[in-house]
Amino acid sequence: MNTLASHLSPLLPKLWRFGLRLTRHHDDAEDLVQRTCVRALERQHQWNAESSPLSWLYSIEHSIWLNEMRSRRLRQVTSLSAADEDDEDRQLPDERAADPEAQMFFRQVVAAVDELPEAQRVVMLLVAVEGLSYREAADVIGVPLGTVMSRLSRARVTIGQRFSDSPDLGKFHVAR
Amino acid sequence: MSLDELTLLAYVDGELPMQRRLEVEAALAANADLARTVRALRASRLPYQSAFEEQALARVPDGLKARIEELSAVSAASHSLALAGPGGSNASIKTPGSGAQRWHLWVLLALTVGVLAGWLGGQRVRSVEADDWVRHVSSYHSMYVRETVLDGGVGTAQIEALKTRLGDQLGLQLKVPDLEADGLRFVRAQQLQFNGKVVLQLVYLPQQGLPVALCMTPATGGKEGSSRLDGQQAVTWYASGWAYVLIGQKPAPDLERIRGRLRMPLV
Repeated sequence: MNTLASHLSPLLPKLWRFGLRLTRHHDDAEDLVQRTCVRALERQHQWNAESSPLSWLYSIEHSIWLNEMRSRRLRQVTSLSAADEDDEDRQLPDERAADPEAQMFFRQVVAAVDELPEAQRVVMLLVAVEGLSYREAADVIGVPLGTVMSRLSRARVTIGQRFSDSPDLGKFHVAR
Repeated sequence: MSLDELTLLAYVDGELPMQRRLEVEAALAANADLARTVRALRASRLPYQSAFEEQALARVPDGLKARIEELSAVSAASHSLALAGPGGSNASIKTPGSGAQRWHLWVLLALTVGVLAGWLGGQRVRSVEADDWVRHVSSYHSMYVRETVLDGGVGTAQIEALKTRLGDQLGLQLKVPDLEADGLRFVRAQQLQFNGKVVLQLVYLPQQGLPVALCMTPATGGKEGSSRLDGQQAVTWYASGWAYVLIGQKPAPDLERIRGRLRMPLV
């Protein structure tokens, strides 16, 4: 049976990654994901079983975090990798033998997204990283389609200006 | 968003029809600002997904995984009950009030198994202040070293004797969990006491490192979470009239994951 509950565990890794990237903090992400699942189950009668459960869950996750941010009135600046001393086992070591040059370039890409204004950063995470369509991203964050495209455009101009002179651009950029 | 921005984004991403594309290229040739914007947009076509996949993120915490699995199971059970509820197979789940009814049923079930207790109690599930009995057994357990239990490993006779005594004197039936799959060998069982209440202590030994204790005491409720006590991790939960705690010191196995598997009453 296609119940929402049947989707939660399979989608948990994606909810977790999105939560970590939204909050930039391990414990906040853990709370956020659990609250997201609880709220989704509370409201599962509102979910259209023919629609994507992931987009719907992302919208709940984003909404909860937005409210949390508003109530806190502050921005978490803790780095994802800045776990405290007791948390060393929470980091997943990257065991892939990637090209160091590529890794450096990838870190610059992540940093460029990370330093965008929050509204643009979330749109980039949803569209460029998670692969959602513009329409799905608009539904997730509850804004008009044009707003998503405007934020995306501004984000990409900002990132592009940063990478325009990068010597690695030709090697790693995505051709269309 | 202005038409120019929208069009330029579509142009750079190759989503414009040929005629419109030619118009944009003509405009670019005549406008340096537009050309600069397009250069930036082109430079922004980066391997975002690959870059973020390379990011070394923490894995999903085992405790969270266990809680979500439990929430899902409880929700699925309530869904089945709602479908087979007072109206039997004729009960509709699409009537206006049925969503709320199903939600109430789900909350009731979730509370029954304690999944929501932390949330509705207004506290974080993850980190809690330990109860008194937990602090005391943790303090006691902090004195354990491997040598404490290496020579006094439990035999079948000892655990049977303890079970018999608990059954005869206290009317309790103890189930000793098998944690071999977690790398923990059961080595000792003891009956202790705190504030007039029985405390049962089961001790397990990992292949390396200090012993791990699973302790339990009768209680009307208990906090679920994880605490740092005496340099050890104490993972607590409550089930069916008993409060439980797993105590270990790094590099102990993942106690939160073990807790996820020990939801059934042990006494």
